[in-house]
Amino acid sequence: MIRLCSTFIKTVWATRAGRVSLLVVVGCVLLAVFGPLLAPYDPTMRNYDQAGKLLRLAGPSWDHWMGTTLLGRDIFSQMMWGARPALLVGGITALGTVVIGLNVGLIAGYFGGRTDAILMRITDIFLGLPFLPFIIVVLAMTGRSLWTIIFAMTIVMWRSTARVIRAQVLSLREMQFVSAARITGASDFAILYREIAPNVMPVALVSTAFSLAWAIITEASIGFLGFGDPTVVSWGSILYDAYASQAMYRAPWWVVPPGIAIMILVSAVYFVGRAYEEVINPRLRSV
Amino acid sequence: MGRYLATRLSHVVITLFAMMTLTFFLFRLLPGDPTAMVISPALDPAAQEAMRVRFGLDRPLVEQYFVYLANLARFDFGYSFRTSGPVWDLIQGRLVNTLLLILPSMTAAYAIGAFLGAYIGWHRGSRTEAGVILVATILQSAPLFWLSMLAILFFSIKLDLFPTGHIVSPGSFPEQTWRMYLTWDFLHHLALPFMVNTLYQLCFPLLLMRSTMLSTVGEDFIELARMKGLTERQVLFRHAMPTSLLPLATTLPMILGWAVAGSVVIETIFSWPGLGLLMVEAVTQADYPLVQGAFLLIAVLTVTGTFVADMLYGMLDPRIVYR
Amino acid sequence: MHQRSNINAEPVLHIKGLDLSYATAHGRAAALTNISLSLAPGESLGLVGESGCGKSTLLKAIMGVMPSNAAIEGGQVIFKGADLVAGSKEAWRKARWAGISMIAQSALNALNPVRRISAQIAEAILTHKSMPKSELRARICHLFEIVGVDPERIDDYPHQFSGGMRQRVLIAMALALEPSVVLADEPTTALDVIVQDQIFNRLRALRDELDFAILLVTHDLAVVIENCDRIVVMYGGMIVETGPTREVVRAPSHPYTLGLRNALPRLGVDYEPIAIPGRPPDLVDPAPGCRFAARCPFALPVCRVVTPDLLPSTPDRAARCHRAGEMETLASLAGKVETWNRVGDLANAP
Repeated sequence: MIRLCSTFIKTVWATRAGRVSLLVVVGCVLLAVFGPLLAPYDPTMRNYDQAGKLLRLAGPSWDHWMGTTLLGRDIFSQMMWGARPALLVGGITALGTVVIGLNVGLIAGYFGGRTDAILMRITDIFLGLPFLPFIIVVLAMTGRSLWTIIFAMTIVMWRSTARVIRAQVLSLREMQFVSAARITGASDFAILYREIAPNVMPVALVSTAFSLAWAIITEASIGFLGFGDPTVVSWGSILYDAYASQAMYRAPWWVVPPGIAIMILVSAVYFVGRAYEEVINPRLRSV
Repeated sequence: MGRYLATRLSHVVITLFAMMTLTFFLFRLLPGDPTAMVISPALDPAAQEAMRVRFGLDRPLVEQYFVYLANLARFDFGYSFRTSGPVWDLIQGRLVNTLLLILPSMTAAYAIGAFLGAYIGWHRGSRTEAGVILVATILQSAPLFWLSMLAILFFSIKLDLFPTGHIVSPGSFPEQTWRMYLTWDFLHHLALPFMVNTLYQLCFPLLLMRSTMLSTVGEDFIELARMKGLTERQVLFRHAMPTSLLPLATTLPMILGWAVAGSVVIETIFSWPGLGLLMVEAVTQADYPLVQGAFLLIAVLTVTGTFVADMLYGMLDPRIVYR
Repeated sequence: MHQRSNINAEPVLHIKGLDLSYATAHGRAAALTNISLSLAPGESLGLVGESGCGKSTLLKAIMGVMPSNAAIEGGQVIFKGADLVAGSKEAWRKARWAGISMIAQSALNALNPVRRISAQIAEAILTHKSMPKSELRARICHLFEIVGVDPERIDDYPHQFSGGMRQRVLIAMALALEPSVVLADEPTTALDVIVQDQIFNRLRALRDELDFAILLVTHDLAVVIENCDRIVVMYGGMIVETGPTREVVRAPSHPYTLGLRNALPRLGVDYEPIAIPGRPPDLVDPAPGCRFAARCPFALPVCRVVTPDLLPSTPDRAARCHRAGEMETLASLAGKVETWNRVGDLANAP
């Protein structure tokens, strides 16, 4: 596992795009951890000017680098806080997705037959679930919290990982090292998790990167639609506030930064995933 | 072929059935009063009790489940809390609006994405290729609602080219009629959400088409086509592109699902009266029968789309033999 | 089809001093150096050499279909009196298939998997001339008949044919426009011996009937002996020997040809084929002197300094070797394993 991570980082680091993207991701992780400590203001605090008047929709200034919201809140501080839910939700969802998807894919691909048929039928059902509407319904029925969002997203998202992994396992199953392991009397469990799993990990890793990207965007979309955790300041919820207050078209400083932050983080994640994918899948490499 | 079709159809039926069951329990077993699902809490207690008996909510859940299935088979999705009218009447008009926005823009996105992806894959290693990939990845990474906000900010507010939302000018058609769709006003309202959605959704087919092209251009049959004396354009459009389109076709169902899900976002921000917006509104107003109806319809749409795309793929690729 | 008499006629395809290089990550690789050969109408010429010697590159260069990193640096490809290299791209494109066609190596990959065979042949025809649909189909059926495939099957897809059938289909496609030159790139590599024989018999019969010239590229000397009037032996992007097949095989004038001959099976003798030790030369930074010197058991000091010229010995034979004159003496040594092993040891020495 540690070796896989170190080769992953080395591979991605080898290209310029990969290097830049990896640095951006690491930067966002640091922001998620330390951002709230470094934020100059409480993100929910109302700010007043020297005359004691509420700073409604103030443009960017020395005191408030990204201006203030309709309620006089400091947007820069909100941005510093917003990285945490994005990466928390994205990260845990991606992890959950790969754990479920990897196991379903491995079992379906390795055992084949009826097991495969049943698991794939279940995967099909989840493929038919409309992603965002399903999450909204779950949130509406169970209440809005970060954990519900993570749960609802994971439950839907494992399906793509499972399919990718299964296809990979199908091609590995007939390989020599697998039959060699079988001859030595290794159990199915051992073959599956000691011989096959390490070989599908690179693919799983790429799939995880794409899940992470997708989960971050979805978390923001849910926040924007107003179904996010009301106690958490996220990049999506900043945009929801801007939209709901009908002030967004008057205050571009309110609307632009969260979108750009999401865009930079997600494209960095995509580029990291793709830099790695190009190495493990040589036909994508350009001459 | 017939046998395959039957198998696939049976899968569709199983999936739909599972979807309905899931929805039933999702809406009833989750924390909260299950009867709140069908009976508006706004009614007085006596009326609520009467409703409970009328809808059979005092019966066991299993019995309710069969009643629910039987009702669905008759397109009976229950009654909206807000309007008290049948849910089906509310959602069928919205379905048309959603399809009118999503289908054209997805078609355009696939066509443009496939063309552009084929083009940059054909000219691999070029500056254009690197530029297009960068732009497409960044676009794909931006949230759709945010891109829509920027588009409204720029094209509607700043340049005043398009309306900021709605399907026709407010007040021009008090009732939804087919005549509404034949007006310039409708097209004028459609233009901006159509463009934003197209731009956003074309990134995926574009990037996929490009990577497929990279492996296709190295194939022997491409070289043979050149040797036959075909011009570069003919090689591209007759051989490289059609062959590379196949993997793209397999992703169609998945993308269709995304598109429908994306409609929730784009309809909300453009106040487009489709299924997605209806669902968001209904959730906000706790109008559960309406939420359930909209959700089920969206799910049926996704499953049907998957099936159609599957069949289409089978017809496109002669190597697939149905047994 | 041995020994046709029209070799002295005006050549239909004439390649003069062709130089071609690839741009690689390590520098420019001289894939073809000063290649000259000519093909008389109806003649069949065999081009032999190991993989990487430039024989497939030469075919692509003749067709004018080269990878983007390849460049023709000099020389001419004269087809029916006109130089295709100097002419317009469009003129070259029009000469492809109509004048010079090709039987590709791997029949499965050379056919587009998602299009019907009839469409793929029709496309070749319609690119060069217009033809009414009924005539077109009749033509395709006729082509299937002459290569021995059931004409009923013209609308099948490639994957519905066996390997041998697909190869016949490729031959049918190559003959679609009655070209005067057919290039064949290892046309039977993927097939078993019996099917190989059938394909070559068919090809010979067709050549006698339709009178096209064949340039047959292979790594297998036996195939050339059986099918070709003349032979060209290539090594490291250069022609090292050329002449009438029988004479060259009976008495080679180049050590590399001697080495190739050792790989031939001999009837009735318990004989272990001898492989030539070592690897093909580096074409990015070639060593001075003869390209074969490093693997040659008979190399002299001069061979590692001066590149020999391709010198004629008789009017229709030529060889690129400083010791071409002594070859009769050397030939007896070349039949022994020890001779070659010595080179192997030398080549592997630090």
